[in-house]
Amino acid sequence: MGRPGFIFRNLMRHKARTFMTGFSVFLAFVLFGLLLALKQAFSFGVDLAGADRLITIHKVSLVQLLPIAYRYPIEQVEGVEVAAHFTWFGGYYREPNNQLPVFPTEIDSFLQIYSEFSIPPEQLAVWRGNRTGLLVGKTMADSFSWKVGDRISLASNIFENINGGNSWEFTIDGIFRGAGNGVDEFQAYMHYDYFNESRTFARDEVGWFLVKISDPADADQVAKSIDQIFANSPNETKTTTEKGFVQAFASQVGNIGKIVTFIMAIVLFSSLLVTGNAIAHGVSERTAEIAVLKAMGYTDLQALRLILSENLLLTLLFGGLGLLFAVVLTGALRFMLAKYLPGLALSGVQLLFALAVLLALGLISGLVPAYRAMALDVAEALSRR
Amino acid sequence: MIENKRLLDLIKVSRYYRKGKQQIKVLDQLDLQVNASEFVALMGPSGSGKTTLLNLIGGIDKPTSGQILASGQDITKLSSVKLGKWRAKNVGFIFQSYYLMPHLNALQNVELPLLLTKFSAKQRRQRAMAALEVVGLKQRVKHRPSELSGGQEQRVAIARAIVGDPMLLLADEPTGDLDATTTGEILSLLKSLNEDYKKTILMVTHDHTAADYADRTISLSKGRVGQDTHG
Ligand SMILES: Nc1ncnc2c1ncn2[C@@H]1O[C@H](COP(=O)(O)OP(=O)(O)O)[C@@H](O)[C@H]1O
Ligand SMILES: [Mg+2]
Repeated sequence: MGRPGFIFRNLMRHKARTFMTGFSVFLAFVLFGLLLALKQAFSFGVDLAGADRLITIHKVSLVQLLPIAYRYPIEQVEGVEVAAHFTWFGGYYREPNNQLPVFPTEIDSFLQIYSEFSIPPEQLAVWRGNRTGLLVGKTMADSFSWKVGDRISLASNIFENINGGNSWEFTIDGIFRGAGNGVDEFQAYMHYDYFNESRTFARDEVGWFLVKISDPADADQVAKSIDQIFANSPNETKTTTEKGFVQAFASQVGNIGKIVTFIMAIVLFSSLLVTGNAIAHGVSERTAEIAVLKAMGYTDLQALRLILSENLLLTLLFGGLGLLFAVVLTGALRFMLAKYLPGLALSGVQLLFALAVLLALGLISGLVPAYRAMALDVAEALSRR
Repeated sequence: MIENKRLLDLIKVSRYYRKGKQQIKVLDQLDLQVNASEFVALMGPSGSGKTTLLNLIGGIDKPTSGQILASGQDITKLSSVKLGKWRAKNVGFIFQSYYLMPHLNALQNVELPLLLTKFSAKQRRQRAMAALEVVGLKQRVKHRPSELSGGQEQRVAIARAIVGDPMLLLADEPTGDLDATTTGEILSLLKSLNEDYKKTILMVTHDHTAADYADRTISLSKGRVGQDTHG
């Protein structure tokens, strides 16, 4: 038996107590991990809403299309950086009920709008040059086991192909990532030219424009200016600033963030109490034994280290398992909730943070009992009966 | 001759306790010399300071004043870390209630003091086995304290005290919890450690027959050495 063996045996001495304490640490860190991921997801929600992006749609409804030529007047408006257009393709893969978010778009403005998308450069180059290329999000690619180079056909329940039928052929040219930046990875983008030239109706029309503005503070003004251009035309527009929406959403999310932080603090604090209490209990029971160890020659510091090590082993082991479980759970939830909470993820930085918290918890909860072991007076402890 | 080599020299050692406003002088200017390889029985009424004296000599308590020289070194001047190292090397404690770790088996209990040394796992094991053999418990190494009799538990505790090969064994009423037969066995064991292994032993006891195993009997009274008889 070495020192690690001694520490381990001390922990195994009261198995039920150790496991219950450990389990509470485990649960605390499963929760902590999930809450961290959730907090992240919510904070990404705000970014995603994009305070610097406006949406211009047909005044009548989203279903009405707009002329693609609107792009240029929109981009002339002061404060507008770029306008990209998108159209709802109404695509599905094999399963008609399972509509996929697939959007025809124009590559350059698209890339300017969505600079947070991460696409391998060589894949981007291939996509740019391939008319029937499709850029697919990682989550979507994974859920259909699509790989770069795969040829697939999507059906559209809106647009017929000039070749007859509603089937559209694509090559998977690129897979984009970006969940770490709050990007929804369950979507796909196709070339507008291919779409436009191959459909049987509504040529040169688009679903909506996404407008990037240079200063979110000007959002109201820019939106008004855009709509003014097309006033009294056959296709009037409605540009939503999203500002009110974003603000309301942000304050709600901010509150959620605070609540989540508050819950995390409570979870950790209660875990601290449970662990500290259990360890303190163990140490006070072992007063005489610790005194005997010191009589054998254990120094005060070695006694401190022994108790701290026991506590650290307990918390790191169970807390670490808890975090591991949280990672697995987050992965599963992220897949299931990909459409709703694209940012749900535990990043390496967060994991490091959680580990630091775990280490701190282990040290802090063990501090009082370890200090007591260190300060224990041998002669006095042994005379107590 | 080795018998005459001075191991312990206590010079005007006092240990006072403060109880409220009162000062209790448990040991008061006590002088005592112990030679290497002596077997000393320490007697005296309850509360006369026997345990206190043993604790001071073993370096787990500090005197209010006075010097305690062990092989010429004043241990009262040592820092707590150095004193810990000194204890590990030089002293083995044996207590009335054994103080074994209930969750460790006999072998593991005996190995405990060696965890502070640089011995390898194999060496620790070998030494612990050897110590258990000396106390006659080679057949019980895997037993936990709860699976041993009182006498066997005290043997394990003695093995633990000698495993680091200290010069000095300090036993505080080692047979206080044992019946007469077992008491005799433990005392014989201590005697053989003294005779065969030349251990210096200080043993607190209330029992005159126990004292008969020792070479010398000291009784404490009024905080000092009262009677001091050899043989
Ligand atoms: N930590 C302590 N605080 C106060 N008084 C103590 C302490 N330890 C021992 N004493 C007192 O010192 C006296 C001697 O104690 P002790 O050395 O244990 O006697 P013995 O072992 O001879 O019975 C007793 O009166 C006891 O109450
Ligand atoms: Mg006593």
